[in-house]
Amino acid sequence: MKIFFALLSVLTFNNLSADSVSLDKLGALSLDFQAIKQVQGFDLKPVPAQVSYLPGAGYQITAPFRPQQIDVLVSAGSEVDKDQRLLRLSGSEVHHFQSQYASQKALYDLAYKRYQNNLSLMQNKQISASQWQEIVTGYHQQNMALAHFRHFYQLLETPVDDDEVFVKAPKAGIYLPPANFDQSDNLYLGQILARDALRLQFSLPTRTALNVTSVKTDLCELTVDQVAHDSDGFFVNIWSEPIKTACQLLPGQHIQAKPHYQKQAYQVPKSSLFDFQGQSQILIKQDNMLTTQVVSVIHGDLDFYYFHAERDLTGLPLLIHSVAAIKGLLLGMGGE
Amino acid sequence: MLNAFVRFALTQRLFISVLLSIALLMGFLAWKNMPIDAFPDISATQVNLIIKAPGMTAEEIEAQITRPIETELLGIPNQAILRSTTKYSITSITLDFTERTDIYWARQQVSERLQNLWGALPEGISGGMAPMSTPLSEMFMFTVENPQLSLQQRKHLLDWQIRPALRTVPGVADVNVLGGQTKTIQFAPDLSRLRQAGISLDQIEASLAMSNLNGAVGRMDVGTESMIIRTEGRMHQLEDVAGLIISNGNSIYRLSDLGQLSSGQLTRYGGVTKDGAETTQGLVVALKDSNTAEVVAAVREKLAQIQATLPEGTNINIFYDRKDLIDTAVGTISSALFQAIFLVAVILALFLGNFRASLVVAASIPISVIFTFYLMRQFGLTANLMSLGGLVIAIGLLVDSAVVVVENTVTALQKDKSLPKLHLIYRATGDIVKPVFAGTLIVIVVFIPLLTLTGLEGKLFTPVALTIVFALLSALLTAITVMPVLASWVITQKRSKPPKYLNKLQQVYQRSLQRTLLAPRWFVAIISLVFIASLVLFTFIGKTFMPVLNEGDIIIQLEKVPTINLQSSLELDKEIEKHLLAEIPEIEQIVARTGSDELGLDPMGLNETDIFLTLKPMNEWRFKDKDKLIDAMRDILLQYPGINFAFTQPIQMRSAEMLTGSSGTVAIKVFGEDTSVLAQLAEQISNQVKAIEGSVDVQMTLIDGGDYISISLQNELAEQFGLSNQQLAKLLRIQVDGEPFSYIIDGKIKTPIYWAYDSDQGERPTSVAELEGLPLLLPDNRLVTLADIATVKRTVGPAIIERENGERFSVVAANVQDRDLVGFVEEIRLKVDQNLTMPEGYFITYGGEFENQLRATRNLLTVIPLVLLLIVIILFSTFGSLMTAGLILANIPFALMGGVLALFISGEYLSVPASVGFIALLGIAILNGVVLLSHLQDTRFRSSELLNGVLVGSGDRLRPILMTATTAVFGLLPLVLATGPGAEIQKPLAIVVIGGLFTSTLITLYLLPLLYYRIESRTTS
Repeated sequence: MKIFFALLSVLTFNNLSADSVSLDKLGALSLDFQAIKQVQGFDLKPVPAQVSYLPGAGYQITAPFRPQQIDVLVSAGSEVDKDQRLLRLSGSEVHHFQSQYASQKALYDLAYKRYQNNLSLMQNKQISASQWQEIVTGYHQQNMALAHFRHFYQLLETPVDDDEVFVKAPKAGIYLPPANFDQSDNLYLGQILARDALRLQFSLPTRTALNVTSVKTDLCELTVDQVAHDSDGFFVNIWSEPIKTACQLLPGQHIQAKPHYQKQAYQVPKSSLFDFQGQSQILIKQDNMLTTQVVSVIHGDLDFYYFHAERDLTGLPLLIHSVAAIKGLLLGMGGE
Repeated sequence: MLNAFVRFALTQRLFISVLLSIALLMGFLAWKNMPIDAFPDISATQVNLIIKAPGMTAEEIEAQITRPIETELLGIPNQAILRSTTKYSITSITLDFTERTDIYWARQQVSERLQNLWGALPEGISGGMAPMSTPLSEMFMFTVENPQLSLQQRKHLLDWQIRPALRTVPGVADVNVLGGQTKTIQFAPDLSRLRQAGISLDQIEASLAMSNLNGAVGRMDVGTESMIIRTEGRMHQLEDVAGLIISNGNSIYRLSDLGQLSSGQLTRYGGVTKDGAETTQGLVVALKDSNTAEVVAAVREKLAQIQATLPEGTNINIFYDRKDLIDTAVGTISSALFQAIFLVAVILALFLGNFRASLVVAASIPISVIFTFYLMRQFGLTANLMSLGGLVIAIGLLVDSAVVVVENTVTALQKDKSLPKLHLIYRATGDIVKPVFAGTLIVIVVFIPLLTLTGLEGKLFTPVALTIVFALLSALLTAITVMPVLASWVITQKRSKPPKYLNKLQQVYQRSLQRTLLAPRWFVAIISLVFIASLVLFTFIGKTFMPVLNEGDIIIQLEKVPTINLQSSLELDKEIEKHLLAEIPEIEQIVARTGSDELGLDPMGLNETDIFLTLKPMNEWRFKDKDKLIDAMRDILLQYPGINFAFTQPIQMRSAEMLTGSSGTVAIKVFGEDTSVLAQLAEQISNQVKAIEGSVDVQMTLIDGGDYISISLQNELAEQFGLSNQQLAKLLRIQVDGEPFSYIIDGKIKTPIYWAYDSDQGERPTSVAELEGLPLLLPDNRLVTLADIATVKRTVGPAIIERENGERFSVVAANVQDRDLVGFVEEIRLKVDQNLTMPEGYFITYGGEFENQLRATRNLLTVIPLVLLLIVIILFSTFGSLMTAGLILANIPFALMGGVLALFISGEYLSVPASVGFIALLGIAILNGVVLLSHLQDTRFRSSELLNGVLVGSGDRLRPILMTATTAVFGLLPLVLATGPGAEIQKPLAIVVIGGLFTSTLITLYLLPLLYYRIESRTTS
């Protein structure tokens, strides 16, 4: 009932003044105090995060043909050196490709020879402009066609067999093969990521994201590198700095990570907080009195609450035991 | 006809002996097989409904569940009162039926109506009718101790090993489990993964429901065999659940891919601590009408069997066994009974001066007692404090018939030795059989008012009255059949002189009587003065219903702030327990129970604790009585400000709750609609009560103080995302409190599967800020936080709603110390009427034990005049004179004054047992009057002088009157002197009778002859 009057006074008079209790009235109640600590930030609850990379960070490998068989020679996500064998392509399409390449090369050589031969004739104006245009067009067409094959061909080790070739890594990095080799003409064979392209990616509510400065995994802490400027409505994507080796994270790995929220706040044990007059309050010892202090809780973790207060509370002795009994006392309870 | 009985007995002595042997054997067997309990069954026919509605507030439950059920139940006939208590997540509805309503019929009626309504009640609720027990059924409690086992493991033992075994014990209604932690399988969905997979929570529920079952196929003939075919899908362990396959149409996932599957524990709504450490408790609830002593013995036997199957080091620590109370209380009364028998036998020997005669009379006591047991058994009475107390009261009365028969026989045998012995015995017995019968009939009639008592007092005192009636009938039968037979064998015709001191006493009496008869002024003045004094003192004697039975154990009820959480509540309990253990060495152990039990039989809040104290034997105490011990505990508890506390005892607490729906001997209920106004009025009444002298343990229902966090869905967004309030509540429940959605069965163990908050993500939300940040997966597969789609705010509302016969009320309960109950209530009424203005539509009722006291007084005052009229008729038919009948009745008020004086001097209150004492006194006074006046009439004309006739007649009757009074006094003396638990109830009765017998005997010996002398003188002249 006392609660009723307490609530009534709040609702009618908006009486937010602090209440006090003399320590002498607390009998045998066990009273433990702890100094209030100010912190510059706190960890949020763990969120799902994935080891990912910024869009466009990968070097993509495509093949101009579809071989009958593709053997991936390195495990997905493993680090590879430049020119290290990645894949073995085999089947008749490989032979066709080599034939095509050889044919194209022959056509190119022919077009090149014709181009070279007619260059002096054109300079001497021995051939007409239209003839020269036809020669140049043919040459560039063959050159372009050959380049299309040659770029891929350069990734191949010198074929030892008409039906089998090895694809080499175009650069050092982490090889990520595709989940499935698709059916398109230009076959995607995976990508090579630079080691520092791997980031931890996670989503947070839009209003929280901007204050997050780092993210913690079990083994390391990574600072936040980028916060997306677009939202899916309620959440935004966040990328960490490049993942450190110490983090021991694998590309694509899903983990729970704790974002660190940068905000000055007071940290108090959970057992110190109570609700009184419709607000969260704590009890601070001042001389021989315990005085209530209204606080605005912004976060809580397993052991602590984090809150704002209107005055500086750093170092003040805070009651962390028997708080519920003191609340009972404030409500007029107690006795037989 | 009565003479025919005597004749038959004397002519068929062998047959009577055989019959007596058989009757004694049957009586003995009846005693051995008689159910033993501390109290008679005082409960009404009661049906209790317990409905659990997870997550619903008291107001919502009241509106959606309590009110509809109450409306449905109000139509059931024979109901006495309908009460309900609604709290967060639970409602308890109790329907009391009128007396003698069959419990099975009552349960069937309630069941039918509940079944009709069940479909219309909100989804997700569970519960129904509570076991068929009474509030006093909690008769055996124990904790499971093993430092090697976790709380969850100990509860697991209790749930799946101990409880099922104990439930097989006949008479056990259920075993309530308190404290500990219940194992669950928890699935914490990873909302991001679910979103990526495009799988909803409903899909998971549906997949599990379809997979987690065994299907029936049928039979198939294989060769000459018929084989049963079934499909197997039932999951048995966590790994089975983890492997559940769920498809989104394109890909398949295992359940473990979509979230965290782990072993967990149910949200706890209560806890148990023992000596400052958490533990788990079992509470055996007995069936209504079961034999407590037998059930307890069987439970103990079963526990001994189970013990061998429990893990090594497990100790079943029994801290409450009703049998202990039964043994102690019944032991106290039984001891008083045997002492009474011994004392009465000694008195008989002293008065009769004839060893053989006193032996015969003394033999009538055990014979009558054994006959009484037989009758008690036949009429379904149990051996308890009340019935055995009745027997002790009857001991002093039941020898009267035998004394009269044997004394007359001795006189007849010594007077005339010429006739055969048997003939003399027949004549001697035949001469007095009619007055003996009439006298016994009068005493029986005197106890009739007790049989008219109703309610609790009727349940308590009907066994007393019935036992006395049975004892008197047994004594009468013994006196007119067995006594003559025994006398014929044992008593000789050898003349024996009466003891000298009796002759001396007779001479002194006759001289003093002569002086009184001739100069009565001083005697009349003194008697009148004493009579007036007793009338004045009567007004100073407090009135109460019953003395409090010392149950041996103490319960301290704690009440903390209503919003306290379990952990903080338990912390405070532990602190207080440790303090009590350190400061009060009389405490053997402390077991405290906080919050609700599993069955919900006693749905206490997290702020409520019952601290159960088991005490060491009294010879190890520093204090002389329990009150002093309680004072020492009170001093400690007063050092814990902010916590309300009250002292009670196990049966006392449940009795009070049964009578008033709340604990406390006085309950003031304010009825009305608005909970805030009710709370305000209760506060004002509470203040008034606290200011009254003698009020202790003043408590009131903390109606207000329910702090809520209200979440309002933003309608536009809800519409846009296709999210309903119901869906939102479910999504939040999953992350806040968890919600069951399936279970696995492994042998006899059934483990629920719960939606839960991912423990990897830390604790569940513990602040509004965290609640606002909770991620939710919407039906359109969108991930949002709660704050994105809803507003969260704090509100207040009632924490508890109590109702009686369909109306809300708040209650102020109090105990009374060092003053009378009725006067206390009268003072409350006066103060409340003077200082409180009730708003329109609000009214107050007063309930509690004092109601029983008032009702008992009202009943007795109605019936006693009728009984007196009946006695007048019996006396008139015996004496044939209204004047004589009037003389005997005129003796009564003077006889009662001794009872009043004794009450006043002893400091006892006028309680129902004291009233019973006055009734017994009434009977003895009338009986003595009859004994004297019948003889005075006989001797009236033997002497020429009236004075001499009166002196001789009175002198003749000195011995029987003194014998009757002394046997009654000494029969009851052990009850007055008894100190053990159980003696408190009958002590006021014994004090009244003993005190009354002094004045009654004096009045019979002096006033009655004086009045007779005066009237006869006037008639003669």
